Amino acid sequence: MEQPTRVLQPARERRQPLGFSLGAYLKSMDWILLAATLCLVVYGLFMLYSATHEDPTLSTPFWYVQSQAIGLALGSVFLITLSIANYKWFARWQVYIYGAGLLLLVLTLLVGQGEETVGANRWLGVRSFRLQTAELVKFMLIVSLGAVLVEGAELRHRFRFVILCVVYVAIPGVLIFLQPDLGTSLVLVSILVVMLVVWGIRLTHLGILAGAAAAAGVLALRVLPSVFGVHLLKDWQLARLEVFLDPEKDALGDGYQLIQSKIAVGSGMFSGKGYLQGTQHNLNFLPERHTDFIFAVIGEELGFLGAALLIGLFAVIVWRAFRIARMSRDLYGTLIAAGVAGVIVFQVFVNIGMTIGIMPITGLPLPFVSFGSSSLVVFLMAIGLLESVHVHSVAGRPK
Amino acid sequence: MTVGRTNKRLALFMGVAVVFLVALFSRTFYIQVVAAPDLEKKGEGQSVSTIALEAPRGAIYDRRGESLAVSRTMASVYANPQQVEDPAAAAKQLAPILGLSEEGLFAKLTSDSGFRYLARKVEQSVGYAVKELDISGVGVCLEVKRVYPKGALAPQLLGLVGGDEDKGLAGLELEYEDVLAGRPGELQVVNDLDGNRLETVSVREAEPGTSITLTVDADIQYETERVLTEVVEEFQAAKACAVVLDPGTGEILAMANTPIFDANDYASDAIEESDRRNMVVTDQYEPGSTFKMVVTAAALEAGVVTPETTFELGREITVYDVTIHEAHENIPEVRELTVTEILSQSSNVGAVRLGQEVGKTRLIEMIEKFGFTHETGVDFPGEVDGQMRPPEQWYGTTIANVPIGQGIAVTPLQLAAAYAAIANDGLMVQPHLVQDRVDPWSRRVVSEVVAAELREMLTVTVADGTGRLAQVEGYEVAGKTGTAQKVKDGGGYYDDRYVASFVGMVPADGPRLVILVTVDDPATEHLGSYVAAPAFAKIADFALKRLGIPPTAGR
Repeated sequence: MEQPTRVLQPARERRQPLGFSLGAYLKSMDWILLAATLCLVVYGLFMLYSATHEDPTLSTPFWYVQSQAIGLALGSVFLITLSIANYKWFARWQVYIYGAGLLLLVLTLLVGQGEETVGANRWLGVRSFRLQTAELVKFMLIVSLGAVLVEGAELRHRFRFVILCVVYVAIPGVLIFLQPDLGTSLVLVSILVVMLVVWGIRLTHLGILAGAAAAAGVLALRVLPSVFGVHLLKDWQLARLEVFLDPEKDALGDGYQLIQSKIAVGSGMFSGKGYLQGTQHNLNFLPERHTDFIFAVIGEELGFLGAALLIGLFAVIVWRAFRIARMSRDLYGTLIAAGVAGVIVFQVFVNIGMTIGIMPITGLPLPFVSFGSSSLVVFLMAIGLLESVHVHSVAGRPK
Repeated sequence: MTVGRTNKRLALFMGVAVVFLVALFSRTFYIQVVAAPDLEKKGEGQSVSTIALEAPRGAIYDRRGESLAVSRTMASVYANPQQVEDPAAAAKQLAPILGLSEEGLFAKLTSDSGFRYLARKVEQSVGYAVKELDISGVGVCLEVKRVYPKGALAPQLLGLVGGDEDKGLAGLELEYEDVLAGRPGELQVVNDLDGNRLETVSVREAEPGTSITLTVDADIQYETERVLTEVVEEFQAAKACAVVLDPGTGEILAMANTPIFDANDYASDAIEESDRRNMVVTDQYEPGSTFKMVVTAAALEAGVVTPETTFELGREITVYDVTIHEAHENIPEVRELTVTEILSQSSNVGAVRLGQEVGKTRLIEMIEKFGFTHETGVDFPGEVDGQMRPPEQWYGTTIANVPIGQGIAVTPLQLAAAYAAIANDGLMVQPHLVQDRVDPWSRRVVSEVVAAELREMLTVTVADGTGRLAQVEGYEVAGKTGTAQKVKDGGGYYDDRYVASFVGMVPADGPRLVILVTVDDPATEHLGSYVAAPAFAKIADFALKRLGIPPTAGR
């Protein structure tokens, strides 16, 4: 006898609380998740200060910290708002959310700003307000793809539905890839894979997808460039991949960041050089030390203890996310929580992995920690989403 | 599809997440704990290098705080010829800015080397101009240059800073190297892999050198040098030197040598090595008649004579096989001279008689008390002591030479210090050039009474004797002329080459200044009384007014 499937229940069948009770809300929050998140962000602020306070071009050594703190404040508002709101609301607006996401990405490609140095358009905004649209799209895709999968809960046996989901993710994925931002488009792939797997994709379907992806990879990297002269990846993207395989080969160029970050992390040893005492990172050896390579600063100054604490805090967040996914009363909550957990695990692994030389350099920020308001706000929104699932579908359930 | 499968899938995913996090955890552990020592070495080896930081050198001021030597930051232009893309164009651009020939620059820019200086220690504005050109392979760095703002003032005294590490090599710069130099700092610089300097890891700040303040007064020094230059020109002398002392404190107010050249050009090839000597301290000469003061002092101190004791003297005196003549003509065959007159008229015969009266032992003792056999210990490098035949080697005739300042060699400073002792009531104070750095010794040479008697006798010398041209209007001067025949290199004396000198003190009744002027080999006139005494008067006149010393009452 099959157990009943967890599907999104029509709203009218559920008893909606008529009013908002602060006591009940507070009681139903996942405080462990919230505390771990806050610790991580504050930890990040301290390390951000260490990484940037000696920058001679700053008017105040706190410039980066201040900027990031604004992100924290804004993100906290979103977090609380989202946790109060019922996540199920997003399911009804799936089409619009998805459409808005695509619109943002198209706008970014058309009128976006970017760092000229790497030839990329990643920002959308006016004056000082700049939004890294791909960050927001990650978040939007989790809720909209979740809704699609819930609607298709009965179509698991239909490979065409699976293909539809792939296309659904591929469209924003390609738009992000065109920015170009290979890292974030891979994040979308990770979202798709995690949510499909948790949704219950048939393993044969998954196998076909994996095979197709491998073939596409070979096609993009080997056949197209050499046979047809089409280069989907920019030269530096390829170079990064090659450097990852043999960093010393290009120690002066692309291998530089990798070698320097490894040296920085290694020089921290067990207990680190002490807060603000790092030399490698303070010396401009580490480019992007306040953004993508913040882990190297932590590793150098706080040693293995600091690094372990950081990874531990991520582990707590991921653990809580899975717990929420497992305990959610409906599939939508489960999928959202799994998606968020997937993004966090993927980015943490890729970011720290590249710092310590087990992943290629992709330029993905470390969630909650790397400098960048867009990323911080969006990850706080994701936590808000987890809290929303917890408040509305987990709290009060027997464990 | 079931909740069970969903939970299985979640567990699977959770498992993957755990594997990922554990992988990060263990890799971090490996890097930071297992492989760390190796990585750390790598980090430092490739990036950190140590650079010595120049310590700013202390300045040299005169007694009134005028800058005589300061260090300025200058620009040096260098090239890495291997990185210069178009040497011809670069040379063409740089030549007018650096004021160098295009060919010379081209040669340097194409030399087979990784580093060549194109121009060192030029004005910083030149450095900026070069930087603005932004020629690849050409750079500008800062270097400290020693500058002597007064230019042609006391070059022999101040000396030279030079060498790779800019150390004091001569003069006061050398003497006070330890004080002026400070302690260089250490900069650990980190270079990125292209060799560009990025930032500093750790610094030991350079300890700046301490400045020194001389006892020398720049204005008196300048006037002294001006007067000497004039004297050398007027009498076509080879050289001249002078020292101005404060007898009470031993402070040297001026110490001058000709020729005067720009102190900034000390190391220039155009300057003769001998012209760099501070003769006052480093050169010996036979003092001649100025030394008669010593034998007189010995006779007075021993009590064998008084200033009024009278001697009957001929035109010459013979001791064994040596005959000493009077230097002056028109002297009666036999005359009676008091001791005062022997000194004031500079009688050679009288001085030898005094020597005979005093005897070898007491004369040697007095010479030693005046310090002629030792260095004064003045704070200047390369000081020599005097030269006197050791007592056991005195011939019978030596007693006929030494009293008139022959057969003995002293430095100008020793002689000036001896007269300063007379000026200072018999107490000799160590002469010195720098304030608060020397703890001057002092010792009694003759009694106060003898010192006063000698001053009185020397006053007569200027008022009514050989030193009349040394008179300064409004002040009473005491002093002694000297005209010594120059010693030939191989021994013996030149007939026609002299060292003319005058040493004196002013005001005579309470001397504030002792001034010695020595003129080497004047051609048109050789007597100290004509050559050196007027120079003394000019220097004294200026210094007295400069120091605000009131004229002697009643004159």
